[in-house]
Amino acid sequence: MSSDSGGGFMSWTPRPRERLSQTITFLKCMDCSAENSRPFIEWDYIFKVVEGEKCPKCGGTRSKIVNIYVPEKKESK
Amino acid sequence: MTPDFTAFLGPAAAGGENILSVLISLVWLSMFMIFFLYPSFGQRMQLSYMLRDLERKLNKLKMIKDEIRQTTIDTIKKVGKPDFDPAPEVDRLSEFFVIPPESMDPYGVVYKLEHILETGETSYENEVRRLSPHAEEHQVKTLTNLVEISRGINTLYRIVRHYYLLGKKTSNIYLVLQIQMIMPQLVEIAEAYKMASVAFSQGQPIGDSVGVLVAAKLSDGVEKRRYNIAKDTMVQELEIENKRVYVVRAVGPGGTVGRPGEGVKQLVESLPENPKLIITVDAGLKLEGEESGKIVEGVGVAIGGPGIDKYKIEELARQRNIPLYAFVIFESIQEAITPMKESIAKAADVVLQKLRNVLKEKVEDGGIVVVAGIGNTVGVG
Repeated sequence: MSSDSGGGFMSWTPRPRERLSQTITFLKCMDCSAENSRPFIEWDYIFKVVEGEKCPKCGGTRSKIVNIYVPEKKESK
Repeated sequence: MTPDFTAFLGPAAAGGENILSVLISLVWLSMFMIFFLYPSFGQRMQLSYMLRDLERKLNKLKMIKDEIRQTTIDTIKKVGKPDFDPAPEVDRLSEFFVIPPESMDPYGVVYKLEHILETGETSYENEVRRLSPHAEEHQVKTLTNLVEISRGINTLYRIVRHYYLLGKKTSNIYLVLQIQMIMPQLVEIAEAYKMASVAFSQGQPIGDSVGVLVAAKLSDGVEKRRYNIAKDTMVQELEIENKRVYVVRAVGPGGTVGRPGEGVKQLVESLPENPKLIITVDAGLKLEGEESGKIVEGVGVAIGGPGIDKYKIEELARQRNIPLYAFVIFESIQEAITPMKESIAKAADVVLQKLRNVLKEKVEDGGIVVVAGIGNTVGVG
């Protein structure tokens, strides 16, 4: 952020760009209640019932989207 | 022949004055004379530096504006599949304006503002619907938000350009200084608009959706009945721990905030008895240094925006003596309009638990409670 009035090179340092992480969709299998995730697909929405996506645990094809968010990197202590 | 540099290099060697020291003295003297005879010279120089900096940032704003415009046009083409080029229409809608009502006589100004905003919103939505004949209804709502983002960034760019050109024309350093001082924040807002345009072009939930998300999670699986109560607003009836809970929220998954004020008003007036509590859940702006996703609770109506919905619920609660309780999830202005972050999404589950505790502690069995989930319902079904 430039703090001097002329935007001089002395004070200006490029801010590290915040990389936009990929949005993740979390699904819950409607047969076995197992939760799994995959990258967000356009027009996914929370509480949408998705048909035809196999559950990796039981092989069920009906699941419900329970959350959609951008994961944040955990800060190392 | 060897040139004699001693006169230049060493005054002592040359025996006193030399050409170099005379030249330096002349430069100093001329600089001194310039600043003495033309006192605003320094200010002029500073102004030119500031204008150059402003111009650079204005160009960045223009790039962001053009990028958002292109995203809007591409999404309309992809989702709405119009049989004509939507670009001129998008440009026309980017200049669309809403004139706020006259407040010289403040009596009834809330309802006048409501009428004007509703008229604007409906006509805007109809224009987008016409541009997107193949889009589903919830997609039309989200596309309307996308065009509104395009309008927002266009307005921001035009205003900054106005002050830049005015400052340049009048050489008014104070005018330029003011706009230059807030430029970093304006560029940050513009960047957030850019990310928001990506979210709305794909129907992703945004930070502001968290209030609606809490309401949706509260009624998930326990909903007994649902019906529309106002434009884009629905009621979900539930029973939680022997309490009759009425959830008011915008209809998703399209991008709309609904009419929570009107919804709560209509609902309470239709109930056989007064609710014991009206609880609002909304995203709120955090202060710098505060954590995103921090949850705070208090009393009052947690609704932002122009104030119409807040006014209606406050007025209703005062008339009927209904206590008002509120949960707010903190986030920044950028987070509010960009894809929902993990910390905010996870805060929704914590609020849900706190909400259940409040229902248990503050409402006796059989009592009625109204819970209003506030925010844009994009990506929340």
